[in-house]
Amino acid sequence: MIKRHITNTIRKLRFEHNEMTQEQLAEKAGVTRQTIVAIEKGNYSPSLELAFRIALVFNLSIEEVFSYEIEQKI
Amino acid sequence: MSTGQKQNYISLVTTLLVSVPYFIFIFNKYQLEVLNISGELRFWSTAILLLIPIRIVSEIVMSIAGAVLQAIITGKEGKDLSDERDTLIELKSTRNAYFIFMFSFMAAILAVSQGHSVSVMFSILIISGFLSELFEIFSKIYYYKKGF
Repeated sequence: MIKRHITNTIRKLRFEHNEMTQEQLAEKAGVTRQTIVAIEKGNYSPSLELAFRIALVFNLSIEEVFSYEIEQKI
Repeated sequence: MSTGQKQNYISLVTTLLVSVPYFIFIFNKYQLEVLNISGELRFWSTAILLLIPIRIVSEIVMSIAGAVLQAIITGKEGKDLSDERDTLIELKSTRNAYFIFMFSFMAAILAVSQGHSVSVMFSILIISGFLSELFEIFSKIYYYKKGF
């Protein structure tokens, strides 16, 4: 069975940016803290626009924050 | 817990506190009245039409009461910010509610086609409206908690 999901490095990036809180990131990206929590946990895949906004907060390209993984399960 | 999530619990309490007593009142009133077919149609139409302003006013009152209570307990105002995830949750929950109501609507039509009275049809419609509303609220609570 093939499982596809979007992973991200937001947690690590927050830590590297002066230990930015989820609340601060949410404010900068224009979403609620719950949405950031859900994205970090992998429970919610953001829209392309939100993914770009989050990447812009860290001054990175979208690929450096989000990646698309295909997992092969037997 | 975000303001959007709290709003679901407020809606749940409002639905249970307002709709259930109203339905009990309406069904009891119906038992006491002897009506012909046009009288029955008028009775149920009025009952549904009356429920709309009652629900709107009660939602507004409960939302204000909830916001005041939150401000008293936490000492700060709740931010009424909703984003794309809130919108998606809203849409998915509404879709789930429509599924319930769609099947109930078919059941109501089926009841009339099988020779049951219009009061049976309206009863099914009112109960299914209530159930679909509850299902919508529980869907939102589920999506907020588990994600999707």
